[in-house]
This record gives sequence, structure tokens and C-alpha cells, in this order.
Amino acid sequence: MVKAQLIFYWISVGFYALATALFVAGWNFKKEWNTRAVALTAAGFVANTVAIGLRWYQTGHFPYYGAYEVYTSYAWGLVLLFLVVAYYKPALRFLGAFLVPLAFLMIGVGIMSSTEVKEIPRSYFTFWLGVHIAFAKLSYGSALIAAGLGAATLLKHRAVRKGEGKGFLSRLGELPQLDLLTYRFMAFAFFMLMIMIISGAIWAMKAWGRYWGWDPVETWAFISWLVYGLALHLYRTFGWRGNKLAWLAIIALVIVVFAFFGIPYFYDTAHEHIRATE
Amino acid sequence: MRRILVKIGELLGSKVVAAFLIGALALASALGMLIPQGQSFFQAQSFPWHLDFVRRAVSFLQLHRVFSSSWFLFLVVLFFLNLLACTTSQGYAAIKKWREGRRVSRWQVGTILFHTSLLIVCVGAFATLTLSMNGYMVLGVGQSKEDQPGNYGYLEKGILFREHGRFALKLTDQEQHFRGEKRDYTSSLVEITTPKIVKTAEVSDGQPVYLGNLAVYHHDAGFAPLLQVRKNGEILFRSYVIFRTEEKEETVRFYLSPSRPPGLPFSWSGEFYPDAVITKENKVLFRSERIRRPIVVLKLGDGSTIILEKGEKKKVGGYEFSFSDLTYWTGFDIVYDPGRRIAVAGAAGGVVSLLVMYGPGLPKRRKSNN
Repeated sequence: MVKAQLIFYWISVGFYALATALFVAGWNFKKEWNTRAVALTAAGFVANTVAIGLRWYQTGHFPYYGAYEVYTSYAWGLVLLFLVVAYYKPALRFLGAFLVPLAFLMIGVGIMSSTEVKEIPRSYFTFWLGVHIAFAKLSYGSALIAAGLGAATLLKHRAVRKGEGKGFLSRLGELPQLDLLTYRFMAFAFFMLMIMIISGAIWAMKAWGRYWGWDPVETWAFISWLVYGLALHLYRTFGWRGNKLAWLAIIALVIVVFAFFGIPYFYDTAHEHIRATE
Repeated sequence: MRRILVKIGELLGSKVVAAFLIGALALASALGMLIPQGQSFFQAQSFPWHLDFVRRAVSFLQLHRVFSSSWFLFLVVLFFLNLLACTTSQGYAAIKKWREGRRVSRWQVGTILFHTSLLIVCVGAFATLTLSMNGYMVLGVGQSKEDQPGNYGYLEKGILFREHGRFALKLTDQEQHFRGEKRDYTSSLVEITTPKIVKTAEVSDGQPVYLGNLAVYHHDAGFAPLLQVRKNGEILFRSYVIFRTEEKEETVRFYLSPSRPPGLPFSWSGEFYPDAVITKENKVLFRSERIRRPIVVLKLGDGSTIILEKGEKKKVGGYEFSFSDLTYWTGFDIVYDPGRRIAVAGAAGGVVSLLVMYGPGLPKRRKSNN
């Protein structure tokens, strides 16, 4: 069963690698290549989904426990969100050059980790855990997209200041449009984080007898949420645009990545599934 | 005076202050994560905590307990007041707009609802912090205990928590569920008696029982053999003795910490085996968690060891030890939290506000042909 999963993961890695090459080529040469790159990403996503499904079948629960499951399922969530965005907002397909290699790397880290099935406490399995995990993936994906847009804004801003802006930078759209999109994805990340925190608190109330305990994972998620909340206030009330908003999106992503993956390297946490990613 | 009050009101309702407070809360929380909290702060070797003035400064600024420090609480109270003032002015502006016949946007309504929900969450969190109680209580099968401080093995109370004696808890029955030879989980049938209600429900890991603001959680469970000690025909000790359960990854052990039982002139410690074998060298080997051949191994203060199978009697040093019966116990986490439901209501309001802000629009009213 594990062998079949690994084969499908490698297939998805292959498609994502090809898609990445085409996305980068699309930036520099032909914008239309982005469409083909999205198609390749979708093919990789199918293989990724099959592998996730096989793991789900093997363990009896959605893959979220241990490095192998956490990284591969986050990659899956990220690509799913990207495909949805690419479908509804074709102008944002260029983000694939930043997001798809990340998914590729995450699957790489995942499949290099232990594939052993770990026994999970019975108290883990509740409806709220599913909601918590789903929204964690959505918040992570939207934080990445917002940061990608932030990076694009920084590049574009620099190019405009220098009077350049030919090539792929000219295809990124105007700066106000990039600002608006960055803001929207940050708002989306803010609300997804909020639902993730709420569902996690309800789950913890049932499993651990308290809805909040200042556990490192909870606290860093709360900090990420506050940073996104601050960014929304700064955008709407104080008119933060351009580089300032872009940097905020990138800093917020750093905190989110640390909250999701960095914690086990520094803290003891009650969140066992993350501890198992060490 | 009025001018000062107006100024304070303006400051509290300021959006600049709101942004500052959100940032300050984020920074303070990050500080609480970057500085080791609790006693570990002073034990950390990588920092010069041995310097007395650093130690004093840390204690004075409460940096070793950021989340329960008075300055963090002050920050949260300021945040609450600011949010209250901002939400009130937003609500007032929206009502004014509506009265003037202008359109109040969904975004505006959603924002007010979202901020109101956050206020409700803050109220719930405050109620949890100050009015809640949580404790740990061990009950043997058939045993009943009242909500009194002496009946808890561990008890933590909010600063405004006053009243005990709200309920009594009885462990009616306990059942162990197995996956092969390994115990998967334990379920306990409990009876909660309050002045108004008697509720019977099953409690297991991840399946608590709620009664109003009270929640009873399964914490751990184990065995309690009936041990008796006699000397010259006189019973010196006879009681069900609780052997604690220690689970570490794949292994489980049931042990009795060194203690001096009442009425006996010596101390003892021990191990309990639900199913074990005794080797020729008189060693007891754990076999499974199912009750098949229960054995108690007692180690006395003088270093002697007694191995007792169920129903067996043994004489050591003039004392007769026996193990005649076996029962079960469950350890419950008992939480009384009046803030829980308020916080959940606030969180639900937050999700509803999202639907108001981003959800599909209401269908347009069809114009009548008449």
C-alpha cells in the first residue's frame, strides 16, 4: 500500500516539476504557457489525490499525523486552492511559478520521512478535527498566495521605480490591482485562520477539557491571526498599500509557516500530530 | 473634567489605538513564546539568569508568566474597551445612516457583527479565567463523592470562583474495551446529581458528559485490588488500593508509589499485573491488559517482596497479606466553566458575520405586476 502511495507521489512530483518549468518559462517567454502549466499541475494533483486517498484508506483517517502525512496533505491543499484560484482568476496563474515548486518541495520532504502508520488516540476523531484541518490547509494556502502576490508587488514596484517593467512584470497587472488582491487573500487567510482556531478550540474543549491553554501551537496561530487582523486594519483604515502591505504579507507568511511547521523544533506541544513531524 | 472624559472616550474609540493594541497583543504573545515560561525560565542555562538583577527584573516585569501577568491582562482589558467603543460608534453610524434612508452595506453590518462577536468571546474568556474551576477526582466503581475541595486530587480555581457543593459524582460502572490483547479505551458510567437533576451518562476518552456549565472528562483509569494485612488474627489494614496507570507509547504499567498505609508500621510500594506469569526464578512477567491472572507484587520498606495472586494469602515477618478481590477506578477531570458557552456563542457569531460579509446576496424582491 505504501509503495503504491509513493509511486503516485513521485508521479505528482514529476508533473509539478514540469509545471514549474513551464510556469517559469511562461513568465519569461509566452504567457499562454501558463495555461499548459496549470493543466500539468492538475494532472499532478490527480496523482496527489490518489496517493492521499490510498493513505486515507490505509490508516482509516484523513492524512494529518506525522511528517509524511502532514507535508503531503498540505501540498495537496495548497495545489487545490491554487487550481481553484487559477480557474476563477486566470490573471493569477503566474503564481504557479511560486506555489507549485513549494508543493513539489513539500511532497519531497514528506516522502523522505517515515511512512510508518502511527496509532492515534481515539479522542482525536471528531467532526471538529476535520473542520480544523480543512481550514488549516485553506489558511496556509491563502497565506502563501497573499505572500506570492506581495513578492510580485515588490518586484513590480522596484521595476516601476527604475522605469523598467517589460517582460513578465508587465503582465502582473497594475500595482493597485495587486494591492487589492493581496489584501483580499490576507482577509481570506484571516478568516480561515479564525475558523481554524475556533474549530480547534471546540475540539480541544471536548478532548482536553479546555478551549484555550496558551499551547505554543495555539499561541502562534493566535499571533498569526492578530498579524493578519492588523494588516486588514492598516489597509482599510490607514491606507497601507504597495511595499508596506507586501512586506506585511510576507512577514505574516513567515509566522504562519513557523506556527505550522517550526514549532516542534523549539517547543513541547500538546499537538501530537505536529510533534510527530520532527 | 468633562473635557478629560471626552478625550479619554475619543482615545478609547480611536482606530489608531485599535491598531496599536492589536500589534501590542501580537508582540506580547510572541514575547510569551520566546521567553521560557514558568519555572523553566529560571532553569534555562543558555541565559544569564544567575545574575541577580536579571532575575529580579524578570520577576518584576512578570516576563516568566506573560499570559497571567497583570500587564497582559491590562492590555486585554484596554483591547476590550477599545473594541467596545469602536463597535458602538460603528453601530451608531450605521443606525444614523439607516435612519437617514441611506443604504447600510453588508460589509458594514458584517463588520459590526464580527466585532460584537469578538466582544462576546472576550466576555466568555474573562468568565472562564475568573469564574471557572477544574479538578481531578478519582472514583472506584460504586463510589460516590461530592464536589468538595478535599475530594479532589488536584484543584485549580479562578479568582472569583466561590461556591463548591454544586453536585455529587458516582462511578456506577466501568467497562474496558480491547483491540486484540491491548486495551483500546475505557468507558465509565457516571451519575451526576445536582439539587435539580440526576443525569446518568457514559464517559470515555474524547467523550465527556456535559450538564449545564459542568463537564466531566475521562482522564485515566486502572485497577484497585482489595488488600488485607492481619497480625495475630487482628485486621490492621483492609482496603481497595489504587494502583496508578502509567502509559508510555506502547507500554503500560500499574504501580503503587511508596507510601505508608494507615494502621501499618511499615511503608510499601508495588506493581499490579492484570495478566502475568511467574517464572521459575520468581520473576513476574506482564502478559496482557485483560484480567486473566491478576497478580500484586508488594515491596515492603525492609526490602522484602511479596507476590500475591488473587485469592492468595502469604505470611511475611509475622504479618499475613492477602489479595481477595479486585475493582476498577476512573480518574475524572471535572471542569466548571460558565465562560465556555459564552465564548462558543461569540465564535458562532463570528462565523455568521463572515456569511453576512461574504455570503451570497439575498434574492431580489420580485416586483408585483399589480
